[in-house]
Amino acid sequence: MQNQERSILICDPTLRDGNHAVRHQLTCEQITTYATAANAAGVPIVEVGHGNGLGASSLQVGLSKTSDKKALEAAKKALTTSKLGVHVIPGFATIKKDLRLALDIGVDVFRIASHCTEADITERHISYIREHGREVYGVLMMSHMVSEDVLVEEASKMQAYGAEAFIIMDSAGAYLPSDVTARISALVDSLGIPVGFHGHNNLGMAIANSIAAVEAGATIIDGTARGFGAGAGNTQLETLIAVFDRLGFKTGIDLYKVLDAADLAEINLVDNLPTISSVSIVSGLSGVFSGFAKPVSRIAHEYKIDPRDIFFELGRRKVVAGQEDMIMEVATELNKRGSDEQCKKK
Amino acid sequence: MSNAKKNRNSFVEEDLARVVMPIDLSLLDNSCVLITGASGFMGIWLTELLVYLIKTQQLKLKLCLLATDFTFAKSEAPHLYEPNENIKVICDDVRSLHEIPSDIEWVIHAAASPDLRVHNSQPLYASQTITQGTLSVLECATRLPSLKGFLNVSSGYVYGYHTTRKLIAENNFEGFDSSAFASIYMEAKRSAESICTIFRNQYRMPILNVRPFAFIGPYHQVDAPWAVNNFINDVIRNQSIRIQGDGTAVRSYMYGADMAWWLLNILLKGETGRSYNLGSPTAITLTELATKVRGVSGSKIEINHSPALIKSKPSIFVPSVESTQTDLGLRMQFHIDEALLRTIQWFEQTV
Repeated sequence: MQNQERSILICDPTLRDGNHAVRHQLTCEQITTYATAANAAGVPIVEVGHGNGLGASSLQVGLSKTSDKKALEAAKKALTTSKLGVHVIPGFATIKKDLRLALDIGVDVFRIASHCTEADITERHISYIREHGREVYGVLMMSHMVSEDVLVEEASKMQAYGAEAFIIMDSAGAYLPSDVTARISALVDSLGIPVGFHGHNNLGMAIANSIAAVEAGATIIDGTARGFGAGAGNTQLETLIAVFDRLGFKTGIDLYKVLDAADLAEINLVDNLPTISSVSIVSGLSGVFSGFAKPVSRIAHEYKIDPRDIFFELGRRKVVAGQEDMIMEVATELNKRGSDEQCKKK
Repeated sequence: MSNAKKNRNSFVEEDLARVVMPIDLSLLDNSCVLITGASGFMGIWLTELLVYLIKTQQLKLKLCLLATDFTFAKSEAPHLYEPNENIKVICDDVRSLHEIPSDIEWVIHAAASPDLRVHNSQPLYASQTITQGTLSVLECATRLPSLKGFLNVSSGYVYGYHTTRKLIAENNFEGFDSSAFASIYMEAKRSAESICTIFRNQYRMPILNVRPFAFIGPYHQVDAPWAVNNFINDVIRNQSIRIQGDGTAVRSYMYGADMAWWLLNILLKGETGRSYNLGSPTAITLTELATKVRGVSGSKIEINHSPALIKSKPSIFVPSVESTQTDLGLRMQFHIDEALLRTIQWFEQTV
């Protein structure tokens, strides 16, 4: 079988994207427990930190229970063979305060991310990590918002800055497999570095999209235990490994042990398993970042308005991660609009 | 000047002593040379060479060094910028240059950044520096009463993307998509060559092109995003070398001292209207390069493919320098092994 010759590098952001699902409240003990299990399963890269990445703990996007330093130190200790990765969004993470710290702790892989049209902001961070000899990937978030041509141009910038691999994130879980095929094919054709895909499951397409990605030439795929992640969750790691095994792609991950790690995650990390809720589906349809699900639900409840209306309005305004304050603004406007309409009826 | 800096000065002088051959320098005597882009890798090496010739050949020569920012150059080679009546430093932007000293007789126009990061982050600036900059410098040069030579530093990228393992000669042009974002630098360089052709034709100016390929040596920036710099950085930091792709891309590297000597010879002996390739014809794959970098450094670090092995598209960027060598009587003095060793020794002092 042709696939048997192909290896796929798996990156597991359970302890990073999963932090979105628990409002960034993962503890050192939870990090150690899961990292130890992922390490035993042979997961190549385990990503750790606040849901929005290094240095992101804040009132705006949520305070972490565990500081970056403690979380990364705990993970590093547990990861004896797996590489430790971090998600980095310039703006949240600064070179002096955050990248330096992560380098000192021994983070192996830095995934420097920006909104899909803003690769320029990653230059200094990517260059800094290359200069210090660690692995650095470029990541474009909310990649569904632009055409494949724009993605190629932005990804080429990251490659020029020194990124050694490039990942597109389906941050809103908005893709269908044909969308993924078109984008990954264009990127693989144009770039000289490995291309990867990070899926979300808002429309129930995460596994199908990941398969479409590898069939189009992607060699790096993200997945989390039980799909633990923002919104409707990520691509479910243990399912992904099983499916890749069936398709003949090599991941180097022990299936039984990754199943054990997922069972452990369900018991130790997850209060409520990610599901494809009505709100998640609307998040996917409207193309709004999955991480908005919890704050949208909370604010909708507070203002007594339909969260689906908030999502569609946020989608119309092309709101992106980091613009969480817009949720309140949209809710206020929708609330006012609702009151005005009621007055007119009277 | 600190001892470390003095040592670095003599390091470069040792290299120059190897490459400088007996030639007729009378054309340069009692003249003035303008170098644009004087603070970059090529500009600093040229300045080093000319200062070395002033010192060792009793040459009477004035230098005008033009660049927007000399911070890096002054920190790397402070001896070149100490007060000196023969060296004039001009901080200016070639894009808006209106006047240059009228006693200039030779121009080496090297202003442009070959750094991909600049092309991608500041494409307009990168393109304007090449096209508008060339236009400005040429317009200034039309007013020089005794211009003897104008060397336009173009790029090996004007040949487009080559995929077959054949050395690229001065007439081997391949097509590329001129509207692609990735083509901005090469299109700008081609445009600058056209501008030079126009001035040579319309004003009968003594203009010639040189098309540089890839180089190594002191005054490179170790963090520059090129494979050889990354490999050397990995060796110096004693961490495994990571090769992007399958390592089959083919490159070649000329040492900085050889580059400077060849440039000067092309300026003095080259034929008006011609284009000369500049670089090493010794082809080497990235895998072979990584192995060599490790070998010459005596290191035992691992060599990996990062982060996953992917099949690279065929890519070759190696010049044929047959006509440059034959017509101008030039020979490379630093073989790749020695060039790598000298570069590693240099960087070990700085990283």
